[in-house]
Amino acid sequence: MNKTEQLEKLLRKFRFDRPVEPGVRERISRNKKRQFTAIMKKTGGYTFSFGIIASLFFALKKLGLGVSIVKTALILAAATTAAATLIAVGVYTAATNINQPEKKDDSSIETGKPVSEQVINTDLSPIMQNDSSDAVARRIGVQFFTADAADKKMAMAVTDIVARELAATRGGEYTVNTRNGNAGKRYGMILVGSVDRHDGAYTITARVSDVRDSRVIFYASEKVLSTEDVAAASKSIARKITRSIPAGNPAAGK
Amino acid sequence: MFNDHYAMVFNLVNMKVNNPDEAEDICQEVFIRLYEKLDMIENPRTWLIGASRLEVMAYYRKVKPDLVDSEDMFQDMNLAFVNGMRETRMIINDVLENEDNFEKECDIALFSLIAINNYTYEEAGRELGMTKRQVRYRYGKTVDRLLDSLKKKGIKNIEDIL
Repeated sequence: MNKTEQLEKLLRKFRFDRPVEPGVRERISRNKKRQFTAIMKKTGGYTFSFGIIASLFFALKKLGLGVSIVKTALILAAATTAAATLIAVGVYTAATNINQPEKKDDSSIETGKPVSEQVINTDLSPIMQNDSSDAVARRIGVQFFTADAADKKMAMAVTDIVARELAATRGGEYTVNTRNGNAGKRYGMILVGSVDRHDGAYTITARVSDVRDSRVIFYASEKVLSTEDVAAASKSIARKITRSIPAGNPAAGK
Repeated sequence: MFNDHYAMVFNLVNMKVNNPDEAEDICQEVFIRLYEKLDMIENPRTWLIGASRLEVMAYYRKVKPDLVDSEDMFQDMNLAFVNGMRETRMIINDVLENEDNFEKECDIALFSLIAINNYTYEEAGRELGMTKRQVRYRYGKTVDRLLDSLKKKGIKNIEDIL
Protein backbone atom coordinates (compact mmCIF):
# COMPACT_ATOMS: atom_id res chain seq x y z
CA MET A 1 0.00 0.00 0.00
CA ASN A 2 1.51 3.32 -1.02
CA LYS A 3 1.36 6.58 0.92
CA THR A 4 -1.67 7.94 -0.94
CA GLU A 5 -3.69 4.79 -0.35
CA GLN A 6 -2.69 4.81 3.31
CA LEU A 7 -3.89 8.37 3.82
CA GLU A 8 -7.17 7.76 1.96
CA LYS A 9 -7.80 4.66 4.03
CA LEU A 10 -7.08 6.63 7.20
CA LEU A 11 -9.63 9.28 6.17
CA ARG A 12 -12.24 6.60 5.53
CA LYS A 13 -11.57 4.93 8.84
CA PHE A 14 -12.08 8.19 10.72
CA ARG A 15 -15.10 9.09 8.59
CA PHE A 16 -13.66 12.15 6.91
CA ASP A 17 -14.75 10.94 3.51
CA ARG A 18 -18.03 12.07 2.00
CA PRO A 19 -18.33 10.19 -1.30
CA VAL A 20 -20.28 11.90 -4.05
CA GLU A 21 -22.23 9.77 -6.49
CA PRO A 22 -21.05 9.86 -10.13
CA GLY A 23 -24.41 11.29 -11.26
CA VAL A 24 -24.09 14.20 -8.85
CA ARG A 25 -20.51 14.85 -9.94
CA GLU A 26 -21.68 14.98 -13.53
CA ARG A 27 -24.49 17.35 -12.57
CA ILE A 28 -22.08 19.69 -10.78
CA SER A 29 -19.78 19.80 -13.78
CA ARG A 30 -22.67 20.28 -16.19
CA ASN A 31 -24.47 23.03 -14.25
CA LYS A 32 -21.53 24.99 -12.95
CA LYS A 33 -21.53 27.58 -15.72
CA ARG A 34 -25.32 27.99 -15.55
CA GLN A 35 -25.11 28.49 -11.80
CA PHE A 36 -22.33 31.03 -12.16
CA THR A 37 -24.34 32.96 -14.75
CA ALA A 38 -27.41 32.93 -12.51
CA ILE A 39 -25.41 34.23 -9.56
CA MET A 40 -23.84 37.00 -11.62
CA LYS A 41 -27.25 38.02 -12.98
CA LYS A 42 -28.70 38.17 -9.48
CA THR A 43 -25.81 40.26 -8.22
CA GLY A 44 -26.05 42.59 -11.22
CA GLY A 45 -22.53 41.84 -12.38
CA TYR A 46 -23.58 40.08 -15.56
CA THR A 47 -23.11 41.66 -18.98
CA PHE A 48 -23.18 40.17 -22.45
CA SER A 49 -19.41 40.38 -22.80
CA PHE A 50 -18.99 38.87 -19.35
CA GLY A 51 -21.18 35.97 -20.45
CA ILE A 52 -18.91 35.31 -23.42
CA ILE A 53 -15.84 35.48 -21.19
CA ALA A 54 -17.46 33.11 -18.67
CA SER A 55 -18.33 30.64 -21.43
CA LEU A 56 -14.74 30.63 -22.63
CA PHE A 57 -13.47 30.40 -19.06
CA PHE A 58 -15.46 27.24 -18.30
CA ALA A 59 -14.63 25.73 -21.67
CA LEU A 60 -10.91 26.24 -20.99
CA LYS A 61 -11.29 24.74 -17.52
CA LYS A 62 -12.80 21.61 -18.99
CA LEU A 63 -9.85 21.38 -21.35
CA GLY A 64 -7.54 21.41 -18.35
CA LEU A 65 -6.32 24.98 -18.75
CA GLY A 66 -6.27 26.62 -15.36
CA VAL A 67 -6.60 30.26 -16.36
CA SER A 68 -8.25 32.98 -14.32
CA ILE A 69 -11.26 34.93 -15.55
CA VAL A 70 -9.03 37.97 -16.10
CA LYS A 71 -6.62 35.95 -18.22
CA THR A 72 -9.59 34.52 -20.10
CA ALA A 73 -10.74 38.06 -20.87
CA LEU A 74 -7.25 38.93 -22.12
CA ILE A 75 -7.13 35.80 -24.28
CA LEU A 76 -10.53 36.66 -25.72
CA ALA A 77 -9.47 40.25 -26.39
CA ALA A 78 -6.29 39.07 -28.12
CA ALA A 79 -8.20 36.48 -30.15
CA THR A 80 -10.83 39.05 -31.13
CA THR A 81 -8.15 41.54 -32.17
CA ALA A 82 -6.34 38.88 -34.20
CA ALA A 83 -9.57 37.80 -35.87
CA ALA A 84 -10.54 41.40 -36.64
CA THR A 85 -7.08 42.04 -38.10
CA LEU A 86 -7.28 38.92 -40.25
CA ILE A 87 -10.72 39.87 -41.52
CA ALA A 88 -9.57 43.44 -42.25
CA VAL A 89 -6.50 42.18 -44.12
CA GLY A 90 -8.65 39.68 -46.00
CA VAL A 91 -11.20 42.31 -47.01
CA TYR A 92 -8.43 44.74 -48.02
CA THR A 93 -6.66 42.06 -50.08
CA ALA A 94 -9.90 41.02 -51.74
CA ALA A 95 -10.83 44.62 -52.52
CA THR A 96 -7.35 45.32 -53.90
CA ASN A 97 -7.46 42.24 -56.15
CA ILE A 98 -10.90 43.16 -57.47
CA ASN A 99 -9.79 46.68 -58.39
CA GLN A 100 -6.58 45.57 -60.09
CA PRO A 101 -6.63 44.53 -63.77
CA GLU A 102 -6.14 40.79 -64.24
CA LYS A 103 -3.06 41.22 -66.40
CA LYS A 104 -0.71 44.11 -66.09
CA ASP A 105 1.02 45.66 -69.07
CA ASP A 106 4.67 44.85 -68.51
CA SER A 107 5.87 47.75 -70.62
CA SER A 108 3.92 50.17 -68.45
CA ILE A 109 5.44 48.70 -65.32
CA GLU A 110 8.91 49.04 -66.72
CA THR A 111 8.43 52.70 -67.47
CA GLY A 112 7.56 53.28 -63.84
CA LYS A 113 4.36 55.14 -64.63
CA PRO A 114 1.83 55.80 -61.89
CA VAL A 115 -0.76 53.07 -61.36
CA SER A 116 -3.63 55.31 -62.46
CA GLU A 117 -1.91 55.95 -65.77
CA GLN A 118 -1.15 52.26 -66.23
CA VAL A 119 -4.82 51.37 -65.75
CA ILE A 120 -5.94 53.94 -68.30
CA ASN A 121 -3.46 52.73 -70.86
CA THR A 122 -4.53 49.14 -70.46
CA ASP A 123 -7.99 50.00 -71.68
CA LEU A 124 -6.77 51.69 -74.82
CA SER A 125 -5.76 50.41 -78.23
CA PRO A 126 -2.12 49.65 -79.13
CA ILE A 127 -1.82 53.01 -80.85
CA MET A 128 -2.85 54.84 -77.74
CA GLN A 129 -0.49 52.88 -75.54
CA ASN A 130 2.43 54.37 -77.43
CA ASP A 131 0.64 57.64 -77.92
CA SER A 132 2.54 60.88 -77.52
CA SER A 133 1.37 64.45 -77.77
CA ASP A 134 3.31 64.77 -81.05
CA ALA A 135 1.55 61.76 -82.57
CA VAL A 136 -1.81 63.08 -81.44
CA ALA A 137 -1.13 66.47 -82.97
CA ARG A 138 -0.33 64.86 -86.33
CA ARG A 139 -3.29 62.52 -86.35
CA ILE A 140 -6.37 63.32 -88.48
CA GLY A 141 -9.77 62.13 -87.36
CA VAL A 142 -11.95 61.51 -90.39
CA GLN A 143 -15.61 62.29 -89.61
CA PHE A 144 -18.55 60.79 -91.42
CA PHE A 145 -19.11 62.90 -94.58
CA THR A 146 -22.47 64.57 -94.66
CA ALA A 147 -24.81 64.01 -97.56
CA ASP A 148 -27.45 66.55 -98.39
CA ALA A 149 -29.17 65.28 -101.48
CA ALA A 150 -26.80 62.38 -102.02
CA ASP A 151 -27.62 59.11 -100.43
CA LYS A 152 -26.05 57.99 -97.18
CA LYS A 153 -24.35 55.00 -98.75
CA MET A 154 -22.41 57.27 -101.05
CA ALA A 155 -21.33 59.46 -98.13
CA MET A 156 -20.26 56.38 -96.23
CA ALA A 157 -18.24 55.12 -99.15
CA VAL A 158 -16.53 58.49 -99.61
CA THR A 159 -15.61 58.62 -95.93
CA ASP A 160 -14.07 55.15 -96.04
CA ILE A 161 -12.16 55.81 -99.25
CA VAL A 162 -10.69 59.07 -97.96
CA ALA A 163 -9.76 57.48 -94.64
CA ARG A 164 -8.15 54.46 -96.32
CA GLU A 165 -6.20 56.63 -98.73
CA LEU A 166 -5.01 58.86 -95.91
CA ALA A 167 -3.92 55.83 -93.91
CA ALA A 168 -2.04 54.52 -96.92
CA THR A 169 -0.32 57.77 -97.65
CA ARG A 170 0.18 59.22 -94.14
CA GLY A 171 0.42 56.06 -92.09
CA GLY A 172 -2.31 54.18 -90.25
CA GLU A 173 -1.28 55.48 -86.86
CA TYR A 174 -1.91 59.06 -87.98
CA THR A 175 -5.37 58.47 -89.37
CA VAL A 176 -8.54 57.65 -87.54
CA ASN A 177 -11.77 56.74 -89.23
CA THR A 178 -14.27 57.67 -86.56
CA ARG A 179 -17.02 55.83 -88.41
CA ASN A 180 -15.37 52.54 -87.53
CA GLY A 181 -15.73 53.13 -83.84
CA ASN A 182 -12.26 54.46 -83.18
CA ALA A 183 -13.54 57.58 -81.54
CA GLY A 184 -11.54 56.75 -78.42
CA LYS A 185 -8.33 57.67 -80.20
CA ARG A 186 -7.20 61.18 -79.77
CA TYR A 187 -6.38 63.35 -82.75
CA GLY A 188 -5.16 66.88 -83.24
CA MET A 189 -6.88 67.50 -86.56
CA ILE A 190 -10.37 66.82 -87.74
CA LEU A 191 -11.54 66.16 -91.27
CA VAL A 192 -15.14 67.03 -92.05
CA GLY A 193 -16.63 66.79 -95.48
CA SER A 194 -19.77 66.57 -97.52
CA VAL A 195 -21.08 64.88 -100.65
CA ASP A 196 -23.66 66.87 -102.60
CA ARG A 197 -25.55 65.66 -105.62
CA HIS A 198 -26.96 68.11 -108.12
CA ASP A 199 -28.31 67.26 -111.56
CA GLY A 200 -26.48 63.88 -111.54
CA ALA A 201 -23.15 65.48 -110.64
CA TYR A 202 -21.40 65.03 -107.29
CA THR A 203 -19.45 67.67 -105.38
CA ILE A 204 -17.11 66.39 -102.68
CA THR A 205 -15.69 68.88 -100.25
CA ALA A 206 -13.26 68.31 -97.40
CA ARG A 207 -11.97 70.57 -94.69
CA VAL A 208 -9.25 69.83 -92.14
CA SER A 209 -9.23 71.93 -88.98
CA ASP A 210 -7.10 72.07 -85.85
CA VAL A 211 -9.19 70.73 -82.98
CA ARG A 212 -7.63 73.12 -80.46
CA ASP A 213 -8.55 76.40 -82.16
CA SER A 214 -10.82 75.29 -85.06
CA ARG A 215 -8.41 76.90 -87.47
CA VAL A 216 -8.93 75.58 -91.01
CA ILE A 217 -5.69 73.98 -92.17
CA PHE A 218 -6.81 72.58 -95.44
CA TYR A 219 -9.74 72.89 -97.82
CA ALA A 220 -10.41 71.08 -101.10
CA SER A 221 -13.32 70.37 -103.38
CA GLU A 222 -13.79 67.98 -106.30
CA LYS A 223 -16.69 67.80 -108.71
CA VAL A 224 -17.44 64.70 -110.77
CA LEU A 225 -20.18 64.08 -113.26
CA SER A 226 -20.89 60.43 -112.62
CA THR A 227 -21.03 57.97 -109.72
CA GLU A 228 -18.14 55.99 -111.12
CA ASP A 229 -15.79 58.96 -110.65
CA VAL A 230 -16.58 59.55 -106.99
CA ALA A 231 -13.98 57.06 -105.74
CA ALA A 232 -11.20 58.64 -107.80
CA ALA A 233 -12.20 62.10 -106.60
CA SER A 234 -12.14 60.93 -102.99
CA LYS A 235 -8.65 59.50 -103.36
CA SER A 236 -7.55 62.70 -105.04
CA ILE A 237 -8.72 64.74 -102.08
CA ALA A 238 -6.94 62.41 -99.69
CA ARG A 239 -3.69 62.71 -101.54
CA LYS A 240 -4.04 66.51 -101.57
CA ILE A 241 -4.40 66.46 -97.82
CA THR A 242 -1.31 64.32 -97.47
CA ARG A 243 0.67 66.69 -99.59
CA SER A 244 -0.63 69.78 -97.80
CA ILE A 245 -0.26 68.57 -94.27
CA PRO A 246 3.11 67.16 -93.24
CA ALA A 247 2.68 63.49 -92.75
CA GLY A 248 3.58 61.82 -89.45
CA ASN A 249 5.34 59.05 -91.30
CA PRO A 250 7.36 60.53 -94.14
CA ALA A 251 7.86 57.17 -95.73
CA ALA A 252 4.15 56.61 -96.01
CA GLY A 253 3.61 59.47 -98.36
CA LYS A 254 6.28 58.39 -100.80
CA MET B 1 -12.96 31.32 -6.47
CA PHE B 2 -16.38 30.12 -7.59
CA ASN B 3 -14.83 27.49 -9.80
CA ASP B 4 -12.55 26.16 -7.07
CA HIS B 5 -15.14 26.04 -4.30
CA TYR B 6 -18.45 25.38 -5.99
CA ALA B 7 -18.16 21.59 -5.93
CA MET B 8 -17.15 21.60 -2.26
CA VAL B 9 -20.08 23.83 -1.27
CA PHE B 10 -22.54 21.90 -3.40
CA ASN B 11 -21.45 18.54 -2.00
CA LEU B 12 -21.56 19.86 1.54
CA VAL B 13 -25.08 21.21 1.07
CA ASN B 14 -26.36 18.29 -0.97
CA MET B 15 -25.15 15.86 1.68
CA LYS B 16 -27.38 17.63 4.19
CA VAL B 17 -30.49 18.33 2.10
CA ASN B 18 -30.17 15.28 -0.17
CA ASN B 19 -31.84 17.14 -3.02
CA PRO B 20 -29.67 18.44 -5.88
CA ASP B 21 -32.23 21.05 -6.98
CA GLU B 22 -32.49 22.50 -3.49
CA ALA B 23 -28.74 22.24 -3.10
CA GLU B 24 -28.24 24.36 -6.24
CA ASP B 25 -30.59 27.05 -4.93
CA ILE B 26 -28.82 27.13 -1.58
CA CYS B 27 -25.44 27.29 -3.30
CA GLN B 28 -26.63 30.30 -5.27
CA GLU B 29 -27.62 32.08 -2.07
CA VAL B 30 -24.27 31.27 -0.47
CA PHE B 31 -22.26 32.59 -3.39
CA ILE B 32 -24.43 35.69 -3.74
CA ARG B 33 -23.68 36.49 -0.11
CA LEU B 34 -20.00 35.82 -0.73
CA TYR B 35 -20.04 38.22 -3.68
CA GLU B 36 -21.67 40.91 -1.58
CA LYS B 37 -19.19 40.55 1.28
CA LEU B 38 -16.10 39.65 -0.68
CA ASP B 39 -14.09 42.64 0.50
CA MET B 40 -14.64 41.75 4.16
CA ILE B 41 -13.82 38.04 3.96
CA GLU B 42 -10.29 36.91 4.78
CA ASN B 43 -10.64 33.18 4.24
CA PRO B 44 -13.28 32.43 1.60
CA ARG B 45 -13.15 28.66 2.06
CA THR B 46 -13.83 28.80 5.80
CA TRP B 47 -16.47 31.46 5.26
CA LEU B 48 -18.18 29.35 2.57
CA ILE B 49 -18.36 26.30 4.86
CA GLY B 50 -19.88 28.40 7.65
CA ALA B 51 -22.31 30.17 5.31
CA SER B 52 -23.36 26.84 3.79
CA ARG B 53 -24.24 25.51 7.22
CA LEU B 54 -26.26 28.62 8.01
CA GLU B 55 -28.13 28.40 4.73
CA VAL B 56 -28.87 24.72 5.25
CA MET B 57 -30.24 25.44 8.72
CA ALA B 58 -32.34 28.29 7.29
CA TYR B 59 -33.63 25.89 4.66
CA TYR B 60 -34.68 23.32 7.26
CA ARG B 61 -36.32 25.93 9.43
CA LYS B 62 -38.35 26.93 6.40
CA VAL B 63 -39.35 23.52 5.02
CA LYS B 64 -39.38 21.50 8.26
CA PRO B 65 -40.19 23.87 11.11
CA ASP B 66 -41.04 20.90 13.34
CA LEU B 67 -37.45 19.67 13.18
CA VAL B 68 -36.27 19.73 16.81
CA ASP B 69 -32.75 21.07 16.30
CA SER B 70 -31.30 21.44 12.86
CA GLU B 71 -27.87 22.10 14.35
CA ASP B 72 -27.73 18.42 15.25
CA MET B 73 -26.94 17.82 11.62
CA PHE B 74 -23.58 19.48 12.13
CA GLN B 75 -22.67 17.91 15.40
CA ASP B 76 -19.00 17.21 15.98
CA MET B 77 -18.07 13.91 14.37
CA ASN B 78 -15.20 13.59 16.85
CA LEU B 79 -17.76 12.70 19.48
CA ALA B 80 -18.56 9.52 17.59
CA PHE B 81 -15.12 8.21 18.52
CA VAL B 82 -13.91 7.29 21.97
CA ASN B 83 -10.66 7.24 23.88
CA GLY B 84 -7.48 7.43 21.82
CA MET B 85 -9.40 7.19 18.55
CA ARG B 86 -11.12 10.49 19.27
CA GLU B 87 -7.77 12.16 19.91
CA THR B 88 -6.37 10.71 16.69
CA ARG B 89 -9.36 11.99 14.74
CA MET B 90 -8.96 15.43 16.25
CA ILE B 91 -5.28 15.46 15.21
CA ILE B 92 -6.16 14.43 11.67
CA ASN B 93 -8.90 17.06 11.58
CA ASP B 94 -6.44 19.74 12.70
CA VAL B 95 -3.98 18.73 9.99
CA LEU B 96 -6.68 18.83 7.30
CA GLU B 97 -8.04 22.15 8.52
CA ASN B 98 -4.62 23.82 8.66
CA GLU B 99 -4.18 25.64 5.38
CA ASP B 100 -0.43 25.85 5.91
CA ASN B 101 -0.29 22.17 5.04
CA PHE B 102 -1.35 22.97 1.51
CA GLU B 103 1.12 24.59 -0.83
CA LYS B 104 -1.52 26.36 -2.95
CA GLU B 105 -5.14 27.25 -2.43
CA CYS B 106 -6.19 24.99 -5.28
CA ASP B 107 -4.54 22.06 -3.49
CA ILE B 108 -7.21 22.24 -0.77
CA ALA B 109 -9.99 21.96 -3.33
CA LEU B 110 -8.12 19.23 -5.17
CA PHE B 111 -7.54 17.19 -2.03
CA SER B 112 -11.14 17.66 -0.98
CA LEU B 113 -12.47 16.42 -4.31
CA ILE B 114 -10.23 13.34 -4.54
CA ALA B 115 -9.68 12.22 -0.96
CA ILE B 116 -13.01 13.34 0.56
CA ASN B 117 -15.49 13.22 -2.33
CA ASN B 118 -13.92 10.30 -4.24
CA TYR B 119 -13.49 12.15 -7.52
CA THR B 120 -11.18 10.54 -10.05
CA TYR B 121 -8.08 12.47 -11.12
CA GLU B 122 -9.73 13.21 -14.43
CA GLU B 123 -12.94 14.52 -12.89
CA ALA B 124 -11.04 16.68 -10.41
CA GLY B 125 -8.93 18.05 -13.25
CA ARG B 126 -12.03 19.03 -15.20
CA GLU B 127 -13.45 20.82 -12.18
CA LEU B 128 -10.30 22.79 -11.40
CA GLY B 129 -8.85 23.31 -14.86
CA MET B 130 -5.90 20.95 -14.57
CA THR B 131 -4.61 18.15 -16.71
CA LYS B 132 -4.57 14.62 -15.29
CA ARG B 133 -0.81 14.79 -14.95
CA GLN B 134 -1.00 18.07 -13.06
CA VAL B 135 -3.63 16.59 -10.74
CA ARG B 136 -1.49 13.54 -10.01
CA TYR B 137 1.55 15.71 -9.29
CA ARG B 138 -0.22 18.23 -7.05
CA TYR B 139 -2.22 15.59 -5.21
CA GLY B 140 0.94 13.57 -4.56
CA LYS B 141 2.70 16.63 -3.16
CA THR B 142 -0.26 17.41 -0.92
CA VAL B 143 -0.37 13.86 0.43
CA ASP B 144 3.35 14.08 1.28
CA ARG B 145 2.87 17.37 3.12
CA LEU B 146 -0.10 16.04 5.08
CA LEU B 147 1.77 12.88 6.06
CA ASP B 148 4.72 14.98 7.21
CA SER B 149 2.39 17.11 9.30
CA LEU B 150 0.77 14.02 10.82
CA LYS B 151 4.23 12.71 11.74
CA LYS B 152 5.05 15.97 13.48
CA LYS B 153 1.82 15.63 15.44
CA GLY B 154 2.73 12.13 16.58
CA ILE B 155 1.09 9.92 13.99
CA LYS B 156 4.29 8.40 12.68
CA ASN B 157 3.08 5.06 11.42
CA ILE B 158 -0.31 5.08 9.78
CA GLU B 159 -0.37 1.31 9.31
CA ASP B 160 -0.46 0.86 13.07
CA ILE B 161 -3.68 2.86 13.26
CA LEU B 162 -5.25 1.14 10.28
